[in-house]
Amino acid sequence: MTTTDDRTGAAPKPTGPVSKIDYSERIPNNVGLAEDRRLQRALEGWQPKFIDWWKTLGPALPTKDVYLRTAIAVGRDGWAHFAHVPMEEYRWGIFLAEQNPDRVVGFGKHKGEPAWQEVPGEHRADLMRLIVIQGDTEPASVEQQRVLGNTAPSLYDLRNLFQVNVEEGRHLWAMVYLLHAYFGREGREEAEQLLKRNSGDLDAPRILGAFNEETTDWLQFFMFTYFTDRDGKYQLGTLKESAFDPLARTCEFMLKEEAHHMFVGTTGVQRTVERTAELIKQHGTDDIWQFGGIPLSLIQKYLNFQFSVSMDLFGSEQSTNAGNYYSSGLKGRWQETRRKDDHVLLDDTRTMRHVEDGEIREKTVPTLSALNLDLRDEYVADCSNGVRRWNQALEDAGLEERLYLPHEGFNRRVGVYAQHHVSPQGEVLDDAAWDAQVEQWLPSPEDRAAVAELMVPHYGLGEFAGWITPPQTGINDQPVEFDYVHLAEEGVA
Amino acid sequence: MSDLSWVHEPNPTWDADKRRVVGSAPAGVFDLAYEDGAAIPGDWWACTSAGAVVGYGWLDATWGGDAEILLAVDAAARARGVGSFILERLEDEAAKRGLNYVYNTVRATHPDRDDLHDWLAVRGYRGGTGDTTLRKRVGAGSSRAVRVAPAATGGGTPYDPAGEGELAPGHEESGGYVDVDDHRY
Repeated sequence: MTTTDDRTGAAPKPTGPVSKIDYSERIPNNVGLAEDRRLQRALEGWQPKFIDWWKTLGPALPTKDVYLRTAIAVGRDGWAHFAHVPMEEYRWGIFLAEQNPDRVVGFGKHKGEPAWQEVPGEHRADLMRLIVIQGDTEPASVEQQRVLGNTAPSLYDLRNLFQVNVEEGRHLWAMVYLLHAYFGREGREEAEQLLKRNSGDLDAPRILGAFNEETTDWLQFFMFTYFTDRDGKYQLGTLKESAFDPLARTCEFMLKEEAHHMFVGTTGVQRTVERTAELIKQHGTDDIWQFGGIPLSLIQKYLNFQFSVSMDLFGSEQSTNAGNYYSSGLKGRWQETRRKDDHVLLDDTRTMRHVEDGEIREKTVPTLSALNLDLRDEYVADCSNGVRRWNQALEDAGLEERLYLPHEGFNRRVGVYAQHHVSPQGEVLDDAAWDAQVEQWLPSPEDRAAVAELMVPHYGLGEFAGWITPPQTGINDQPVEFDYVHLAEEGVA
Repeated sequence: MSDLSWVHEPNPTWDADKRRVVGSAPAGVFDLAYEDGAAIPGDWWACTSAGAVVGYGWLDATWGGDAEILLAVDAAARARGVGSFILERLEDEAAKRGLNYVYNTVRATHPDRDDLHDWLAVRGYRGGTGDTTLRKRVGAGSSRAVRVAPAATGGGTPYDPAGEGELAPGHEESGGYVDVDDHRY
């Protein structure tokens, strides 16, 4: 029989600023885990399963150690240090941003009330679901990127991949902590499932679509960290506003770490574009395969693909659930506190595009029903910043070609465009027109195979693959040619 | 019933048929309150028999990858396979959209929540111990064959070419590098 205690678990009671992380514990944390033996035992029971998962589905390339960033505090001052660490000994832990004892709910029908330190019974199922969805994405990307180390363009990039991987693992810990601490037996069962679903598994895939797409090569990895991890940034940004304070504080700290993932994507694509621009300039053609570069037209195809699958992650433009999450205080909007409205939205409307009679038209809908679209709009605006950065590299090289974001309706499977074909320029197409042109817009298996041929590992100090330029500076003020990764085989690096 | 049809509503609005069918459910089953003629979110389908609406199914994709499914059957048409018909169609529709899972949340206020739980369970829906949310894998293999979107307000820090030159992270030891809301990348 399920008891109340089983269903609610024993929530820890954070006590004021606890920015220093206790690394003497088996599970590093700043939530006072040692004072809650029951929760500590439960998480220590989950820890070996996580390590098994990491060994089985984490990075496949054997390494001795990696120059990694590890969080040591959560405050505004220094919060991390860098050192060579064997990845299996990385200190995955539980870190919440500092508590503000005066924090109040910033939106919805509970606006102005004290933030919740416990899960209200009426929101228990919805909150657990939000945490499970977020948690499911974290290990998924590690699984997707498992074999990428075998074809790393440099030790610098290899290190960045592994930094992303260990921090996605830590983000899984962050969600598992919430499930264990606040959702009792059901939470523990969901935490188990987070290790049982696997990316691309036919029987038990990861929940969100883009997290089941194979990461075939490093260009896709950079596109993934730019576009798909950016969706994660925006989802975390909405959960950071949650009335459920432990979730808000967890997500706030995760966002700090997430910035590095954005950096990897932005600069990875940029360095690829820079090398492509050099080769185009040098040889006077976009057909630079024979010179070891990736044509700009193919970079655009990769961009089209990753942007469109990432747009689907935001769900349908209109969603009753999204509106309910907002009204209930579970999930806010991006930069909620900076919005200049009443933060309740009951009487607000906005426009949204949809397809009607073969045309893209606008209609007015209640803002509350279209909060997925609100978040997606913010995301698209952010995405365009990176495209401007990449186009600056093309302009600096003296080229006239430019990259662009495809239309929001392009290649969509979720939402109002799902049943329609829309070109990257926003033209609604019939099946025949789509089929005739789709290979111009999305990477074909042959395109991916051609990129894969360029993916040859470069593990020498300061060595870089020919399809990408070296970065301007190294990590943590180290030189670019620093020994960021020591491979397991002696003498390889 | 063997004469059931499945009709998509491209621009669903709250109307007399929905009021009749959804309204025939006992109190506590649904939480829907719309004015007549109001546009309603989500993908909606009507289930008809001999030209009359006997049920509705609708799908709410809150995130891409799974969706909540809901269904309502006219009280006068229950126990004739309408619910199963709608459930199967909704699973097909979700799979066609590349969604991996569908779920249904059995509301605490549902008067027949145990029966509904069992009805979903025998159709492949699974949940945790409390079983408030039951999930089912639909479809298999979501791989795809694989105008510039409008800029909205906000959206992070605009790219400033003049700010170039210090791309690398590594100042976390002394703070800096990360503004949670305004990532530079």
